Amino acid sequence: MNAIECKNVMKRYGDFSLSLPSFSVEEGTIMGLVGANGAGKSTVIRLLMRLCRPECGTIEILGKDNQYEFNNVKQNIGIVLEEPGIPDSISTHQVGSIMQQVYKKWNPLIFTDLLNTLSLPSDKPFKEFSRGMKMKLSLAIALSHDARLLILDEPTIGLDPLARDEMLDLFLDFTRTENHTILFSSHITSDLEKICDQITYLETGKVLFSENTETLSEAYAKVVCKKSQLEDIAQASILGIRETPYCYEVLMRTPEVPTFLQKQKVSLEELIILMAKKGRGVA
Amino acid sequence: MKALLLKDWYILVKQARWSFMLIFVFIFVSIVGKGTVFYALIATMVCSMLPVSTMAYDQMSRWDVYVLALPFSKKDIVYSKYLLVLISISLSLVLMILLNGIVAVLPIKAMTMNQMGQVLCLQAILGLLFSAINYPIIFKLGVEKGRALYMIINFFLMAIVGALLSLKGGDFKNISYGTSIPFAQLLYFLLGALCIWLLSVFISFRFSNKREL
Repeated sequence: MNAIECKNVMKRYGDFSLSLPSFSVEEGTIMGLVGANGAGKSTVIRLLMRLCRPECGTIEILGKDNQYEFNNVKQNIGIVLEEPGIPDSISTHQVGSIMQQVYKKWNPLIFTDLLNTLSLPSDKPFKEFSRGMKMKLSLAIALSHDARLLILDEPTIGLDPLARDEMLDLFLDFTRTENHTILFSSHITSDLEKICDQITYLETGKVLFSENTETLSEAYAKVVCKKSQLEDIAQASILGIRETPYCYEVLMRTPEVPTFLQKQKVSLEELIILMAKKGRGVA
Repeated sequence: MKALLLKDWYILVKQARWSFMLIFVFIFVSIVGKGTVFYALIATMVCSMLPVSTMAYDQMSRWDVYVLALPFSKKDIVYSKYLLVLISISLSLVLMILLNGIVAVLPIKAMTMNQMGQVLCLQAILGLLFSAINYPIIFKLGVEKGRALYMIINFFLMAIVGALLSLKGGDFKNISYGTSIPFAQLLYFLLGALCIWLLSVFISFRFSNKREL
């Protein structure tokens, strides 16, 4: 079963348009959503949570269309938005009291435990929190009501490496329960590579690839070549290209690499950079 | 709904202490100032503004977006703000009754029951109309953009009310003593204000539903 399933979804904001002909996240997995600023990651999350309406298409979350009775479904979703959205004057303790009224399955003991684990003070107002602490509090809320699905928009932004690592461990702990699913958008490709089962790359509102993390490095390869060799590669098979002072780095699907060139493994970060460079007309 | 009201209460306690102080002072002055109803009406207007303040804080902190990702619909948000204004107005009326009761046992002249009934009616009418007119504008345009428009509307509204009262040969002081508008007539006005207020809830919901954050 898919925890998230979008079919033929389209959303326009002025010149920008997001298109998701087919996008799904299988239950029990972690899906990473990656892309440059303005690629449409936050728009995907806004559409999933029905913070905005698509022009067309259907979105199903945990098996239910998000147009109808979505409040009941949202009881099972933990959400972290890019802007945490908690009023500045409210303290952590007060946040707990509010959320107890919001979620039927709110567990104050888990919340208090998470506050301790994440070293968050219970009496300080939200305005005195650093960006990282704000994200941690949002995550503590998302994890304290027995959610089945976590939707996280840039949750590790502003966190130091240690805090990021702690947070990633919490995500992994969460998915130890069989039907728990995470959709997680981030710029930090190392975080995505570390925990995601699947990666979806968005560029200017379009999905360029959505692949299993393990097979991703096998599906794509990088070749390093000279200009004369570049002319012998079929243009259609070049997915991305980067010019360096001495050579060209070319991204291709592994089976399409010509035999006269040496394949190299490509990291997620390189993959994205190379694809983005082609998109910007370097090739 | 309880969660939304609780969140608003926490915000108001922290951010609107001066408003609470003003409400108290205006109502007290209205009672001891020989029945000057003007101050009681100002207190009610401040009460009607309290939910607008919470909406401004919601927008500033992006709670207005976050709350829709929680198990709440736009309808819940609209209802909670209207419920909050109803609670605020009711509290200003209760405060009026309590303070008048306290003043009555002191050697200061308090309002009679009839005067009190009229003032309470006027407060309720103004509070309901004020929120009924302003809230749809805010739900349509947001607090920042809506602020300028509702200030203009309120200025004209107050000017019209003032002009009508002058035409009737009354003034704010007289109203409190029950010489301008009969009590029964005020009850009809209150019923009318309540109908307009209910219509406003519906309009605000329509506006809020169409507005994308």
